[in-house]
Amino acid sequence: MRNIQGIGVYADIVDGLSPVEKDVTIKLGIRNETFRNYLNRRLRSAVAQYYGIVQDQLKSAEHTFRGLRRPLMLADDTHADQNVLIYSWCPQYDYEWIGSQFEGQPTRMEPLPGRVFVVLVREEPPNTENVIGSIERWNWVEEDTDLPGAPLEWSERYEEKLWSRIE
Amino acid sequence: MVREIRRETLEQNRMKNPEELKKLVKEQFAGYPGVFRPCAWFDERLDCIRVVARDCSILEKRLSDRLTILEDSYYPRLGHAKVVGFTIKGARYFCHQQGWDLNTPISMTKVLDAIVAQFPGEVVRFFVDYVARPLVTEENIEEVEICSGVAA
Repeated sequence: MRNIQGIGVYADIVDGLSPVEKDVTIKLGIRNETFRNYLNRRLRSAVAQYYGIVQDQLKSAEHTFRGLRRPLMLADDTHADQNVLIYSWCPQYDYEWIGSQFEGQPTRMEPLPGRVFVVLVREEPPNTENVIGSIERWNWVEEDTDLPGAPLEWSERYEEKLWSRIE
Repeated sequence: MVREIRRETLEQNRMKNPEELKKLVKEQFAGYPGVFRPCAWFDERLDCIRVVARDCSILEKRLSDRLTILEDSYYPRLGHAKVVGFTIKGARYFCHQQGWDLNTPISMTKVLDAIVAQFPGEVVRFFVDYVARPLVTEENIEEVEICSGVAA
């Protein structure tokens, strides 16, 4: 069983797929502040999804995109929208926290058809941990009818598609 | 340390069973007692205001490059609403335009009023009047938290 593996600014580091070459494994991290935001707000379902989907299945991504088509500033960077990678796929299971904080537990759910899971990753400058990007967000979106495994209207949401597993 | 990471990553692709998952999530929240409460906060790294009224699996529906509606992934469920939140994107510039200081909490009412004024149109007005305002009123979400590290 894999617990959180914290290193430096990262609360955890997981394997992902290179945005450049889909067969190459790279490392992605989730920053301490990002993970803490979920804990501080007691977002147990999102944390269960992190352990059950992001940590276990990120390498199952079917498509990778770059660039969010929406305004995004980070500190003084007015083009921070360009540095976001988006991984999408259809996981076998979803997870949700059901019940109280003491008696409850993460519950495995069957995802409804027509949805895909997306993970947003901000590309990072080279660092000592060899992490190429920080995991910022994960959630479900509707699936595109023309490109299975991709978000609905992906070409309006994202700047470019980098690769698809099957091409 | 590097050896530990490599060993761990080899195990990554094995899916956890429900008991393992339960143990991991409970361990993480051991230092964070208490229950989820509806909230709104400024997500600095993705430059957006997030409003979340329920801790559940969320389906995000993009309304525009500025607005996203959050729905319960498994709606309908007895006693639960379909819409569980929303996201206002490009928040930093939006707040700057309004002359708001990003170091202090912002009134939710002010935010919604400013959206209508800044982005006139039927879709935005419908979103604010029939989705956002009823949600924040019902869930008593009065302010947008600004700091990224709220107290545990």
